[in-house]
Amino acid sequence: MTQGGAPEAQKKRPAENGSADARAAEAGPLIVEDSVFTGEEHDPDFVKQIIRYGGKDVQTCLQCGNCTGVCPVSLKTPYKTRNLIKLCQYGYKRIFFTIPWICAGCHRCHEHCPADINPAEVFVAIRHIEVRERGVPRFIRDNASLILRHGFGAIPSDDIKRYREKEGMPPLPNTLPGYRKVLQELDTLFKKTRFDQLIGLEASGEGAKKQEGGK
Amino acid sequence: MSAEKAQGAGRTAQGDQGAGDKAHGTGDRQSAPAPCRIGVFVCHCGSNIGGVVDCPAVAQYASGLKDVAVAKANMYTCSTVGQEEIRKQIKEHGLDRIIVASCSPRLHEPTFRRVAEDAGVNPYLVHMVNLREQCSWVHAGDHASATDKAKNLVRMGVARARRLEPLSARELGVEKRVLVIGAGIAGIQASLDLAAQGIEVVLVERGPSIGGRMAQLDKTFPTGDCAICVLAPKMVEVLHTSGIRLLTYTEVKEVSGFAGNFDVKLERKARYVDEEKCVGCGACSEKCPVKVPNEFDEAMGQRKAIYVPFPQAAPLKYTLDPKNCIHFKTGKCGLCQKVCPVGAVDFEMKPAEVRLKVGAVIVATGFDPYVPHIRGYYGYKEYPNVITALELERLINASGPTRGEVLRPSDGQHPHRVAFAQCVGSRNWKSSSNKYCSKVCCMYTMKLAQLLKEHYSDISVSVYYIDIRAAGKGFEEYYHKVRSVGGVEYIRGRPARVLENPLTHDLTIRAEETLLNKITEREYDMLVLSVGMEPPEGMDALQRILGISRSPDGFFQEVHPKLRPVDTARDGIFIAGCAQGPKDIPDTVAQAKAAASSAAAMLARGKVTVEPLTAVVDEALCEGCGLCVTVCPYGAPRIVDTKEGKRSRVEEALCHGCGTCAASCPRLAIVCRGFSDEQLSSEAAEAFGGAAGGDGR
Amino acid sequence: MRYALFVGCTIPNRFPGVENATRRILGPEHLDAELVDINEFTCCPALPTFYSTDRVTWLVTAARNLVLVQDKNADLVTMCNGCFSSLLKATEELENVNKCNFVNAALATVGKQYRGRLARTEGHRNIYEPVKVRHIIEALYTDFGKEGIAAKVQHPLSGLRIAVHNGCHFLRPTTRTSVDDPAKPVMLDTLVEAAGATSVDFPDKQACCGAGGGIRLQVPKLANAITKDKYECINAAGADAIVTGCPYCLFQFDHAQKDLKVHPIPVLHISQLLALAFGIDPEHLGFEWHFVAVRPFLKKVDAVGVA
Repeated sequence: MTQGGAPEAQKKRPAENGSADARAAEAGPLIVEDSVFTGEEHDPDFVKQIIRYGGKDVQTCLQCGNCTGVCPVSLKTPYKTRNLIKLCQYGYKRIFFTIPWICAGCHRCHEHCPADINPAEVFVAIRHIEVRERGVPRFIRDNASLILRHGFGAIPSDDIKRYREKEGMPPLPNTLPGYRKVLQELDTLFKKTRFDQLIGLEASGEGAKKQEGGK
Repeated sequence: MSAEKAQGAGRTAQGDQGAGDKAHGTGDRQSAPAPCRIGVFVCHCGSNIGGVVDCPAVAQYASGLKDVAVAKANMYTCSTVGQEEIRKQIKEHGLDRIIVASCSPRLHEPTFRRVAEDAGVNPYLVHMVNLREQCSWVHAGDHASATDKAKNLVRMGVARARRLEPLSARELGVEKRVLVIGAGIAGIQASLDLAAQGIEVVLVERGPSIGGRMAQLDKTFPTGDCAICVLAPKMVEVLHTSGIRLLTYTEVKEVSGFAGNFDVKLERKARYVDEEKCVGCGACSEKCPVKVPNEFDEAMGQRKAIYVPFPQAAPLKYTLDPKNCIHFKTGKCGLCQKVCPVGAVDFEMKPAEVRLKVGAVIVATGFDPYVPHIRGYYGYKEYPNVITALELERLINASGPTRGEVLRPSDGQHPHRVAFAQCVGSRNWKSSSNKYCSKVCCMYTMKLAQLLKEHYSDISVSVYYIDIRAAGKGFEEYYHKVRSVGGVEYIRGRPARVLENPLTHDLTIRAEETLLNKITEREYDMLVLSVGMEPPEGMDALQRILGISRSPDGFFQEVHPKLRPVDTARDGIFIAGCAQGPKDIPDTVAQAKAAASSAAAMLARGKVTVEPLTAVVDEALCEGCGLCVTVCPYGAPRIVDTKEGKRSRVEEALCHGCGTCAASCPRLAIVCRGFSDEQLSSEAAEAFGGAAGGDGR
Repeated sequence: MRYALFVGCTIPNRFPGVENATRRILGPEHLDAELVDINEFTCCPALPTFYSTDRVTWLVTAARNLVLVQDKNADLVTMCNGCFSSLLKATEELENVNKCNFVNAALATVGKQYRGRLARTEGHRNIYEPVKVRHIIEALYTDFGKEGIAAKVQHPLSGLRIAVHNGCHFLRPTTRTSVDDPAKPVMLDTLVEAAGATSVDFPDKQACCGAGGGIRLQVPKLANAITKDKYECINAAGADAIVTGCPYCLFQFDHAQKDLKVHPIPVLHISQLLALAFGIDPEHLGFEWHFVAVRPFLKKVDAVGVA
């Protein structure tokens, strides 16, 4: 063009009117490969799978968008509830495995939906599918592990224990010696429902080996 | 049994069913029936039956049964050819009973009865065996078993046919008068059409004036015709047609009887104004000190305690509302009576009863608009500038409370930015009753949007919708027009949140604009809720009075959704207009004309036929306990005094032959003709290979 | 009133003052409810971890907690929206006979059976009803009411402006039940008013805090982005404190204000607010465990004076 100088310097100058290259550079990629859905994305069983895992039949969704309008997450992220349900209708299961688990479960979507669909429950069903077909997110396994080992999602710190003593509050259940029995029950139950396998925990079915403060 | 022989070739007795019509008793008195000559016609019904059941084999099997003189397999028994075949076989073989093994009797039973009668066989000696809905259609995958079942069904049918008795229908005279309930456009149109044919009409309206919902409208879609301008001439015509007896401020209390002969009881509510004397001058209303919300204006305006609902009311007679009248509450005032130049105000007036006989009833009771949740998500009745479409209609109407000016309730200013929210109270699958689409809201919103644009040059209108339904004549064109010339904006998205600025009372709507794929927040001066239609208040009571059914959506139910849109399951009672379901004015008028035509056709012959498949009480067994009276849904049995004591008698014309009384009678004293215990048990016995002492093969 | 107090995971480990406050306000000197402590409880179980991955395990674990309450002749009362939602949902699911039998087959392995609470006896038959799961907000509102609470107030918080945050799982605990009107709730506002304070109005009052469902754990930025909108409305309304019925919402408001570096508004649990109004010394209420300093609010409380 008319600008001289090094290529770097060229890029930094503001785009001239009519300079197609410069405009394009600002706008981003013009040609996007694979911008057409041709059917490989479509999993014909996805809708039924969702129903099997407790979601509702998404086919009756009117796509009215009320769910998106009330969803706190839709407001702040590119993920629109209505659009996600549309992707369910289309059977695009794979895309859900790339979306973080950011539904808050606030159920505003169900509260406002005229078709009586519960997108929050649909997402729960999809999480069930993802866990069984792909794997479980790290934060889930961590939390489940804690619960298996301690009965609760956290081990009370020494500060906490001191506070309770000072205030005359009863000791926390999982600091009591008898709690081992509870952990054994959890262990047995998790094994019975095969939750341990699902999540990748170390339930033995015979009893928890670790307790708070122990090995 | 001798009683069977006494039946002979059928009765033509008028009146009651006493002597000569002894009911049969219990099954254990069953004895072998007299020999007869049965013709069995097995129908292929094209491939419907023939594609699954081996019809020739079934016919062959049938011909081997006792008492079967001939058995044939036809392609389409209901066709002219098939019917001719039956006639031919009756003559050739001297048949005295016919069995048609084909589709459900609900389709062609009358046809075959007629064929038999023409050929000299009593029409009630025709029996149908269902090889289609109850055999080929449900066992389509297993031809062999279906054919076996077909043979069994035919054998059962033959056993039944052996025990059939000849019966004859009765004819009764009719009242050539029709009761029309509801004087909106549907009731008005039906009345005019009936009167034009010389049929007397009694038109009953529970409000003080006729006109209904159409009178509340400003303009109509898609033409923009002024509603009252096209309605008022019809209203006036009703007043001036001598064949129409108009009773306003009147309610229906009782409808008993049967098609052609209904007994009706009406209550004329006390108007406290003598209709004969009142000339509609309005002096009373001018002086009346009480102001209350006017129902006709959807409470956007007011009326006095003595009032006419709107200026074009017909009849133009004033009505006094005792709930809000000072005189009725405290004994004071009475100004209206003092100023009335003709002395028409009568505080002592009492409700009056009117009794009549009519031949048919047309129910044209219309709808109520859905009332949105008070203080719900749209802020109705909480934010003053959120109103319903009908409330807007009253504002826009030149004879409405604001003389046609659209003013914001909060500050009386014109709005500049108006939003409409569609599907309010309709298409809601969380509701058990409001799942349906109310059909008219998309179109009336276009009309209101268009009117707003015509009235105010600087107004912007946005319609928040999910789908647009513009299916009628000229409707799609109208949709095109409101967006192009009209400049109305269409936003696809259901309003998620409506917030109000507490100072300005302006509204903010947040919604996902699905076609933009963006959540947007926009400000408006006024939000109009496009509400759907609901069954009107008083539907439950009216349903009980009329004894007709309602669909799951709460409106009255037509007998067949495709082919009989204005008939109800109770013969002689018809429905028309929004009473049957949400619809616009053209469809309402069409249904009104259809109902009038059906009612007229029913009355045209001057008589009705009463089918004899009704219940009969054996007075020798009856003890008059009254259980049958309690269980009958149609009020057919009645306890009468006889020499032997109290006995039940069934009014044939009211009886639908449902069998409930016969099943309930503790003395087994009631028989349903055509469905007696012997007939049914002999048929059932054949299903299990024949009972002991049965008819054998 | 007999309450089996369910403390859950978050309160004992992050905001022990909330449990302390609850025990004290329900104690013999104040509302005098009978508290039953059950030492075999586990996590409710947490909805994101269990309900999202395996409904069966979730229901079995929740049912196990309910079994511990069913023969104690007490209502299960929790101070956390998440526990409330999880356990209430479980009682609804267990009404289905098939699901209940399935769950009991699993519970049998640890010698437990869910039957529900004995409602009454008819002849030789025992009639059971579901274990009652309640939230502290609803329990205080229904069992004591505005008058009952106000009667115990010794230090009315007159003139103090409180922004009330119900939280999503209190308003919509299950798909079929809500104990307060989700569109126009009144219970928490009433409790705040019973304490003598003013519950301020602000736009979008029922907005979500943004923390739930694992959002705070995975993407705190998103949780904060959601909280920010609500915070701005609360700030504009000039609130002295934010009061909520859920420790996770408390945690979110507490941390979000720090993360977003905004003018801090103290965040309290309703039990702590009522404890202050009942005249309980703040040093027992565990405010040192809060991120946003509660001291400025306590100063205002002192300034109001005693009734």
